[in-house]
Parts: sequence; structure tokens; C-alpha cells
Amino acid sequence: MALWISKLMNALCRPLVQRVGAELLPHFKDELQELATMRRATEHAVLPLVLKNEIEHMQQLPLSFLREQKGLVFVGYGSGELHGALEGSRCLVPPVRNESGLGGDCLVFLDEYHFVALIRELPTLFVPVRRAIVLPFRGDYLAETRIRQILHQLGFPEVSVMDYERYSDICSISGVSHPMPVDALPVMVSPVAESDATTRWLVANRYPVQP
Amino acid sequence: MTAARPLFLLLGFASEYSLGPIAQLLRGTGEQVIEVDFSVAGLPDLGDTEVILITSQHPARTAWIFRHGYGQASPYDRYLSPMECMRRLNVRCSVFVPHDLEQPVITDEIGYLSFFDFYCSPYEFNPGISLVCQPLCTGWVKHIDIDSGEFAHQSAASKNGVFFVNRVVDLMRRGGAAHLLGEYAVAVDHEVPFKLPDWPGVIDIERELVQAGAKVISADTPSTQVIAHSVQIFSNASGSVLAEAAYLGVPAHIIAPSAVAFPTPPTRGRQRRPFDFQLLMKAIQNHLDETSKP
Repeated sequence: MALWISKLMNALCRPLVQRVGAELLPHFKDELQELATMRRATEHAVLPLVLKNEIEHMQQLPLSFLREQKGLVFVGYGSGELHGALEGSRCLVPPVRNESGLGGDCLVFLDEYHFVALIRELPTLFVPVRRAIVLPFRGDYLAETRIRQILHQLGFPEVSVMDYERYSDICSISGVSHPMPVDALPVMVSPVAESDATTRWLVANRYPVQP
Repeated sequence: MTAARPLFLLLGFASEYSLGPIAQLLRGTGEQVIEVDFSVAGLPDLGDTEVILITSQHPARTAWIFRHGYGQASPYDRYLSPMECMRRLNVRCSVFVPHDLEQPVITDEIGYLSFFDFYCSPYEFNPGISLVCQPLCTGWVKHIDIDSGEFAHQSAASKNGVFFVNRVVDLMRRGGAAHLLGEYAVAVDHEVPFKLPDWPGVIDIERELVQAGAKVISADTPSTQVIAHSVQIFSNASGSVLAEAAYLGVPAHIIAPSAVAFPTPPTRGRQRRPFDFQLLMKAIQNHLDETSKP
């Protein structure tokens, strides 16, 4: 008898619970995403995947932007692959032990992991970086807002999202932020544009260049 | 000095422009000087002219953030941050001179000191600054020749003291002169003159205060000179003025709203040393010599 009642209750209640769940879940979308980010951030990085990501990002390098930069420094396990690809560029294979190796106009991380590992292991203020820091953003380790705030705090007053269209060799900029006084939280000057790009680059500039 | 010497470009905004005394000394030594107070004028077109840039602006505040905070209209629309100026100019040497003695470098500005070759520190103790740029212990920039020249309000300041109005943007939002007179009538009762910071829009507050019978020291009078001549100073809130008073050994008090009496003046403290202009000039010259070597 109890078994029959249990089966009957299940049959009656399950659709109700599913409906309530379906209605509630969208309200927790942001929190669930945040939880997923936090879970990824607490995991040890999977270095073979970092290398795989680097290859993906190198395929999508914003060449038209990088060609205009002098004194490029590429940071990544596979950075040697870029040797000679762009005039005057250098390659730096992590781990980075001292900040003197970072000296240049534009520091390009081939994966977000290298940026996060560097700021966790090397107490550098990026003083040797004269113009810009570029990193592919995936959101695997830190939220985008937090990365923007860190870069703003370290003397990069303009951070933007760069999308690269490989076939037309065109870079486009959106999602420009500037630092709020005191806490350096990013204030968005323009919204981040919708994009189909698989790799999105965060560009932090020492000197604001966007109108 | 040779004819090829770079031009001195001094930048700031309203009361955050604290480089007037340096400009006078530079002109006195025959240097070519351009002062840009962005509340009055924009950045001139200097082409490829070599520039020694000295600024008292907040280093981390971009033009966009500045207008985001204060509004798009004139005089805020022509503001440019130090790094935006640097991008447009041929800068041979850059110097940051703080305009706020209470907090010379705000927390988010530390990373931005790397834009500058020198930081003119008001204080001798500067641990950590050399990681981002070279500190020069010059002392407080407004403490230059403060005893020279006429001071029109000598009798009132030396007898009763002066009430410095702080947080003027907030005051304007709360009703300006009427709010001030309502909260700090004690200053009018004791014939203590008000001194407002030099900021766009304060002229209207000054006029209303005078019409209401209050004494006013014009906002464009250098604050440091006023403090130095005062028996004591009062303010509605903490800020650089209180730090300046401490620097000059002048007693200072924060007055609560609706207070009915002022405290009696305690004895004066020790005055710290004036701004070391020669130290700054020597550092700039050394930098120019070193960077011009092949």
C-alpha cells in the first residue's frame, strides 16, 4: 500500500517539482556561472590544455595590431613558435623568475594562465612594460572585471576587448573601461560587442588610445 | 642654460593646480614656462617641442573618468590626464607633484607613478616609492615664499582664524551658501572669514556669503599663505588644508555642524622646511644629461 502511495505521489509531484525548478533556475544563472568559474579557479591548471589553448590563441593572434607594436614580448610555453614571425619580437618561456625579462613595449601572453601564474608568483608592478599588456581572455581563472581592476590598479588606465578577424586581418575594439578613483573598479566607457570570435583579447594600455 | 633647453609645461586643474609657486621660480631663473590650468584653458599645440612635464593632477584619473564624475560641460570638457598629455607631447622628463598633502598619493595611483621620472614628496619617509619612480624629498610644493608679499586679511586671520570650506562639490549639491550659513553660522557670529577652494562655481557661493554678511577670503588666494598668517584654522571636514596646517605648525580644528562656539587657540607647532626647488632642478638636469647621452 505504502509503495503504491509513494509511486502515486511521485507521479503527481515530479512534474510540479520540474516546473518549479525550470522557473527558478534562470534566476540563479549568474550564481551558477560564478560557481563554475570558482570551481575552475581552484583546480590546478592542466598544463597540456594550457599549451593546447596557446596554439589556438596563436592561430588567432591579432596580427594587424601586433605589427604596429615595437618591442613585442611573447610569454608562453610555445612562444618559440613565434620566433621571427614579427620583427623585433622576443619570446619568454615561463616560469618568469624576474621582471627584467618583461621589458618591452607590448607584453603578449599566449594564454590567460601565464598572466595569472605570473601575478601570483612574481611580485612585479610591470614597470618595464612601456605600452601595453595583451592577453587572451577565457575566464578560466579570474572574472573579467577582476582582471580589468588588477590591470587598472597596476597603471593601465584603459582596458578593452579586441576581436580579430583573421580573413580580413582587421582588429576591432569594444568594451573599453577606465578606472574608478580609489578602488580602480572598471567603469565601462563602451559596451562589449557581440562577437563570434573564439579568442577574445584583453588589451591594457598605459596611454589611453580609444576616443 | 642653452637655447635648446626644453620647455617647462605645468599642468593641473583649479585647486588641484598647485604649481604656481614653481612657475614663478622657474621664470625667475629664465626658463620658458607654460602653465595649463585645465579649468581655464586647454593643452596648447606644442608640436615636437621638447617638454619637461610637471603635473599636480591625479595621475590615474583619465579625461573620461574626470568628466564622468564632474560632467561634460565646460570647464571639464577640456581636461586631459597626464598620460593623455604625454601621448601627445615630446616629453624629455616628467615630474609628479602632489596637490593634496593629506594623501599625496591615493591608493590606486601608486601604479601610475611609473609614468613619471620623479615624485616630489612632501615628506622624508617614502618607503617603496623607488620601486615605481625616483622620489625627491623636496617638501610641500605650496610652501614657497609664503611670508613674502601683502596679505590683505592679516588682521582677521591673525585675530580670529579662518574657516576653510572643504568638500565643495558636495556643498554645491547640498545648496551652497545657504547650507554653509545654516550649518556654520558660528563663523559669521565670530567674524571668522570663510575661505573656499579655487573650483568652478565657488564665485557664486562667495557672493551669496558676502551678501549675507559673512567675511570671505577670495578663493584664488593661496591657501598656504592664508594658513601661515592664521592664529588657527577651522574646517567642516578633513582634507589637505588640515595637513597643511600641521605642516606649518598652525592649530587646526574640524567644526561640527551647528556648533555655537570655537575652541580657544592652542600654541603653534614647529614649521617644516620649505620646498627645495634646487633639488628638483638638479634632478631634472641630471636626468636630461643622462638621457641625452648617445
